[in-house]
Amino acid sequence: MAVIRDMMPAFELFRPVSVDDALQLMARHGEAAWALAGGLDTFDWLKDRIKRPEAVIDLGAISEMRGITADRGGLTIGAMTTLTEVATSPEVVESFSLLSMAAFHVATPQIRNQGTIGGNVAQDTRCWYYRGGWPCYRAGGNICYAAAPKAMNREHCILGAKRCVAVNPSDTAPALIALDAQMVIRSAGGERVVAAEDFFMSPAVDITRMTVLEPDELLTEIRIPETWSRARFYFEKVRDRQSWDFSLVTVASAMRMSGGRVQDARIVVNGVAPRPVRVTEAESVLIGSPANESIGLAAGEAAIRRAKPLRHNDFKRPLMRNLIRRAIRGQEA
Amino acid sequence: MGAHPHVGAGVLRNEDPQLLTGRAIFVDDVHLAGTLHAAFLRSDFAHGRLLSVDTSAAKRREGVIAVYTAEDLGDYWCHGPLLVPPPPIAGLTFNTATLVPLARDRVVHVGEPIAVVVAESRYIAEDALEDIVVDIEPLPVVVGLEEALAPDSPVIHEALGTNVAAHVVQQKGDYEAARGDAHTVVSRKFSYDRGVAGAIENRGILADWNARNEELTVWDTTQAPIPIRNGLAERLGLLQSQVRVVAPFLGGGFGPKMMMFYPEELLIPWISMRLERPVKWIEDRAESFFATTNERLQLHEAELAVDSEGRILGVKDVFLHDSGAYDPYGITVPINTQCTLLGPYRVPNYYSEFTAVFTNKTIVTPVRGAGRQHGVFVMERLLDFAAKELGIDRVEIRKRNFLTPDEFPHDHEILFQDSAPLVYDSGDYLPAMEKAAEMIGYRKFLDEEQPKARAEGRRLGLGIVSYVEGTGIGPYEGARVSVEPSGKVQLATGVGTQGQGHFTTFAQIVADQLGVDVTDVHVVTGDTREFSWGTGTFASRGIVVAGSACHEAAIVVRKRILSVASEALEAAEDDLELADGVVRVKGSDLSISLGELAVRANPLRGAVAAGAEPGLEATSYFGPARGTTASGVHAMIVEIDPETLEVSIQRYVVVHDCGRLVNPVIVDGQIHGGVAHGIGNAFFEELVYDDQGQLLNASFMDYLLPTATDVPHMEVAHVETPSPLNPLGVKGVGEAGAIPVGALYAQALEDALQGAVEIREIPLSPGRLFDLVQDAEADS
Ligand SMILES: Cc1cc2nc3c(=O)[nH]c(=O)nc-3n(C[C@H](O)[C@H](O)[C@H](O)COP(=O)(O)OP(=O)(O)OC[C@H]3O[C@@H](n4cnc5c(N)ncnc54)[C@H](O)[C@@H]3O)c2cc1C
Ligand code: SF4
Repeated sequence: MAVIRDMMPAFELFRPVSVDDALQLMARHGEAAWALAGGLDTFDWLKDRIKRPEAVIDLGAISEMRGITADRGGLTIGAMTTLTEVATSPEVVESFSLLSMAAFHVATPQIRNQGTIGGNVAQDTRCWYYRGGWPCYRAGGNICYAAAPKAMNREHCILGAKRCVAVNPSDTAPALIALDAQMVIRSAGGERVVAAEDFFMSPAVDITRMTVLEPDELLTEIRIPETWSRARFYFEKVRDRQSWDFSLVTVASAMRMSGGRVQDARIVVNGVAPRPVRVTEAESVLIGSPANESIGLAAGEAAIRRAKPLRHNDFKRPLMRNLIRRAIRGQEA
Repeated sequence: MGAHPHVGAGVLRNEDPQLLTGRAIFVDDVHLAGTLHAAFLRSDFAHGRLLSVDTSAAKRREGVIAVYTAEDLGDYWCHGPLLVPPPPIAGLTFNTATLVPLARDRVVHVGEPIAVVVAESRYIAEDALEDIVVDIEPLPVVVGLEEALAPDSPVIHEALGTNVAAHVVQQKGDYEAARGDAHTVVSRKFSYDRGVAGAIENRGILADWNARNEELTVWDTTQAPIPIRNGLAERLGLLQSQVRVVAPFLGGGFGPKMMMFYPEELLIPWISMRLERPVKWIEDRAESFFATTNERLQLHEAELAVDSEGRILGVKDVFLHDSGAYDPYGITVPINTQCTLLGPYRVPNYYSEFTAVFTNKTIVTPVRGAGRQHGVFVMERLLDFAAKELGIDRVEIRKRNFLTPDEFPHDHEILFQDSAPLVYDSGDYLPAMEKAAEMIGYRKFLDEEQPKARAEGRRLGLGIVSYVEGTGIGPYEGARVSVEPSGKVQLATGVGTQGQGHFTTFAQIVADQLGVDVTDVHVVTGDTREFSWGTGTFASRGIVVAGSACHEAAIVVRKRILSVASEALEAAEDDLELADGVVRVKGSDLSISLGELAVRANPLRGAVAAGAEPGLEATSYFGPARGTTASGVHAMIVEIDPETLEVSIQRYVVVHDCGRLVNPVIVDGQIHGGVAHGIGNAFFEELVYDDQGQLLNASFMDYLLPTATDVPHMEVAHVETPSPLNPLGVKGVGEAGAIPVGALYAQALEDALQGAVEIREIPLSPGRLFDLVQDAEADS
């Protein structure tokens, strides 16, 4: 919509220095609160005058939410750690290069310097109708513009849609699911830990949210267990433009081999469904088999069997299939 | 030193120190005390009846100074001018619909301005926009070109009773007869879409009415400051001397910054006069997608008739062109398509017919290339298909059809955008093609590299295409050269500049005549107070038209220098030489500096000979009879990932001919930028409109410009065929790089995909290539 978008409307700004203080503020302002991390998603919404929080709680001064620490063969990553830090941390690069590759594929160096891993997994969808301020289901209305018969929807879902056909845009999300990461969530009332796989929300559950985070909750850290340390990884992101562009389809996989056969595998695809999906169809074809081209093709075909493309995104089917083939072939990992 | 030590040398740019250190002044850098800020309320609907606009709440908001709607404009409200009336082509239909400052009873595209808020800050102005209540009754929307012409289509401009903006037929010879004699006729449908100019700097205006001096100063991001000054003076009832328009440094123009007048250009000065305060409006990026003109779709149905050897007997092309909601630029873009399609080829018979169509979308006006790429795409593709059908090599079929040097000047017997006959001045196309083929390693690639790569499962493809570009059209530009007592030279012109390097190339031309260093020639442009006559920078004409004016003025000043020096040094003019800022008697150390001569030419005392003019100064104007024809060949090698259909450019070669090179570094820069624009057009950029005329990707997050990772290193070489139409022998180069890239991509990708698909459309993307491949698989 052709509104002028430059200046943010006024809000109250808080800058707490501890998680506890931040949580108190979140509890006090409830639905009217907005957590601010790197601001890359946030400021778009505010400048576009589409989201109107009354209180913005800047997490930038909370040092306990930053940094990467080794933890029993795994890692703990503070939610406010920048994507650059994640991409370049020696611990991540050595043991969980999948995550470092994923973080490295986000946008541009400037954005990675500013954007945080917490913000990256909590960011909202890029559906252009929704971003343009159209009153669709996700915005609380009663229509999906992107699924209308003449809609322009090349970037939308081919799988798992439920009224909303927007996709999750995060590059780090599929890697975290493949690594079986655990998301540590806190509110003034306490802490809960949710598997990355369950962190992302399907519109069938709540169409207005991308994650399980409640309005008064913060993601404080992400724990990566030792399980997939130094496994055989594959990450590939296909996009229209080779830098500064969201993915069309992304695959992230972790595999353990034994005696020339796949002992265990997690293959996750993003850009094809409302949330990053584990393609269990492909995993089950794969486990117990050699990771070769014919198994790859079979797994790829199995993964897209239930795909239902929209008017303009049929290309995502062969693309998803081919990326799964490659993940299994593993040439570029 | 030779006669022209500077022209032809890749000297450093005079303007770069200012630009690179951030000291250059752009419109938004001008800060005046007491400035008010404006924001526009724009239509959310592509087509509708404007029933009411209630601004009362906005006016009450603290900090809001004024809110204006069409009603408040009184007599100032009227339709804008038709900038470029169509050439006198027999049988032409042209329907004029020019834009209005603020919508009155109808809105015809999303983003059309409805009201303007003026407030103490931009924040307040934007807050106040939300207070305005607009009632629009939506009307059915016209989006598609074919649909717009359907008998039951809604009509956008009721008074016209049709959505036809123009219908034009131009022909040469007898195409149907030629078709009858043809060995082979290839006919295809093509669609070629374009996009925004994507200038780094959006538009902006600061107007300051000084009530005490009764003077209006306007800083404007315009490519044409003088016509803006003239139009504003007329509309505001002022003398031209009361209005000063300054176009300082501009962050790119590319065409859309000379749309006279944009509504904002008319309104901001008018508001400043009413409120007697400076008023600023700076366009933001999202706004720019709706409110700044762009270029879009054409649908072609074309045929090429050839003999058994691939020689062109005739071309027929019938196309539709999207004009958008208004047509202030006449038929400039589609007639460029019509004329540029002919390319460097001998086409004895040509039939070209187009219909320009009104749609409920942003206005279409020239964007770098200005419809030329559409025509080149059609012609180059037809030649590729004909070559394939006849089993002729694609370089060979082009060579067989090139015009040869003895055929110039070559009259195509149709009219160009400037109403002059389309006559090519000069050219030599074969050497450029041969050079490009050699540089890209054409034969080796086809015979060795490509088969080898294919055997390894890699898909490499090569493209090689040629084009001409009509450049350097009239009417005229002027220049004033004056030598100051400091010995430095001031050069003023009215042409306006947006990054083309005018501060350097114009200086080089003058420096050669006056024997001074390039850095001692201070170029002033884009300020109507400094130079009062001219049109603007467009159609790749700066160096040809303004550059020639600089040259002529410098020659006159040189003569005056010699005459004053001859008296001062008591030597014959023939015995004098100009170099290093002094005039010297050849073979002696007797000399006098230009500064001293400037003082002598403007004495404080003493008698001046009758009829003599003071100073070392001259003003000259240059107006070419018609345009110059630049040309080139581009070649590239691409690799396609067979599983993701991602494309990477391995090599990119340009052989270009813009006549004599004034500054090869600047020419190369123009080509690099043009190619980047072309790559964006071919593979990344697309304005996505839905069936309600809503633009869905109005941000650089969704509208993809190519970045540094997408634009390859370019190997550029030059052929120099001087133009006989101007004293410097130069031709324009501003748009050249952008023109052939769509055609080049199509050929190279087809080649890489081993002919599995036929590409008849631009833009492409990995997703679109998947569709084409899947469609082709389904068909076979
Ligand atoms: C030009 C551009 C290109 C981009 N390209 C890509 C890309 O290619 N791939 C990709 O994955 N991403 C991309 N992004 C998205 C970018 O990486 C994310 O927007 C960014 O990482 C968000 O992180 P942030 O730290 O800036 O968070 P913010 O923008 O501040 O926050 C994002 C959202 O998360 C919430 N949030 C943030 N932190 C927490 C927390 N700890 N607990 C609870 N809620 C929280 C905020 O309330 C907000 O809703 C791009 C962004 C831009 C601007
Ligand atoms: S896909 Fe989702 S976000 Fe987009 S328009 Fe439909 S409901 Fe809204």
